[in-house]
Amino acid sequence: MPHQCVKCGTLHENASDVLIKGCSNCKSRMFFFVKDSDLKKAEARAKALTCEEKEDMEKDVYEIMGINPKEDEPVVLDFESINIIEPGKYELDLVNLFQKDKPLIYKVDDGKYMIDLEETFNKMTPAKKKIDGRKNRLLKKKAITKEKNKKEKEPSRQKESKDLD
Amino acid sequence: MIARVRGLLKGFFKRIFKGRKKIKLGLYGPPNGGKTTLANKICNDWIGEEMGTVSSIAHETREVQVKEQIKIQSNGKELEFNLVDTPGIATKIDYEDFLKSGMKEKEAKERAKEATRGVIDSIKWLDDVDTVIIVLDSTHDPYSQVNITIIGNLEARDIPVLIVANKVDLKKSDIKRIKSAFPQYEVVGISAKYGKNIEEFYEKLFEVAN
Repeated sequence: MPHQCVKCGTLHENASDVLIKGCSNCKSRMFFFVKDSDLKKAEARAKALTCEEKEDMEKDVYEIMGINPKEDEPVVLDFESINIIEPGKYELDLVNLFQKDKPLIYKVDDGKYMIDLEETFNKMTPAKKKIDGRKNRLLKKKAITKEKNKKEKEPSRQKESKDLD
Repeated sequence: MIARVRGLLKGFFKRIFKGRKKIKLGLYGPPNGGKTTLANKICNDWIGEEMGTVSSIAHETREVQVKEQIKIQSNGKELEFNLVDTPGIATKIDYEDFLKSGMKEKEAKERAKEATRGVIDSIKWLDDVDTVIIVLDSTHDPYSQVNITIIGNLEARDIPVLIVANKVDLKKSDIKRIKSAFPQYEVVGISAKYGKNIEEFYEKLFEVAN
């Protein structure tokens, strides 16, 4: 039989055990008896609410509490890019994520971090490749011009030696 | 003589292909701005097929979608591009938001995980796109961290940008607010769902992409 804890409001659908041991949430032993029919009515009423009605109710509660939910509050994390608050709840530091030279770090819990090494190396490699490519091209150019200069000088030397002869 | 003819031909073909360069066009923006609706509109208009599914629940697109070889024409000009539809970029992804739409907890959590991965993929693709269309919901405040971060990064990367103020068919729509938030960019107000002002969008696209 459903009972609701007087102290914390937790609803226990099958309260036979809870009535003896106390509320599973706050250990209180004071309960309201809730009729099955009333519970079904309340559940049906909650299910019948539309999304907009639920959002309006949420806004009303925030107003009563005097809290501004601030949905668009900027997310600025420490050095991690993604904070996993709990399964299915994520905070993303976009400024961090957009930067190519920043590693991809997930904060799993306080003091627990995971670094996506593959992604981090991928992020950083293309720039290095470009620099290496440029270096190689410059070295090749240098080598080619050196060879050209050598070839140009060689016939003139040969000429000079012939003239001397 | 042969070398001269060869040179002339090379220049001729170079000019032809320079005029018809193929670009990668990326659709970026926050979730539920109407990126996929616009992608579907473009695809329907020019190749007669849809690109992806749309939904009123945020983060419907969780994987990057690419449609290749789309040719559009406007005022006698032709533009060929590969269209890249990206998942919405967000700072917070909460499965409880999906529960409000009647989704089951397990499904909602999986959606949140995929959406987070989608944000990372969207950002990765920024290295591969040549021009970006930012699709914003014109009923929402444009001064958000998501919008400012995306636009700031595109500016730093020197990628041409066209801002689309979508959902102008709705009463709360406010294009002026978007124009004043990003005065340095072309802003075109459209309704991707109903095709309102889509011709002006194509004209602006030619200006930005060329």
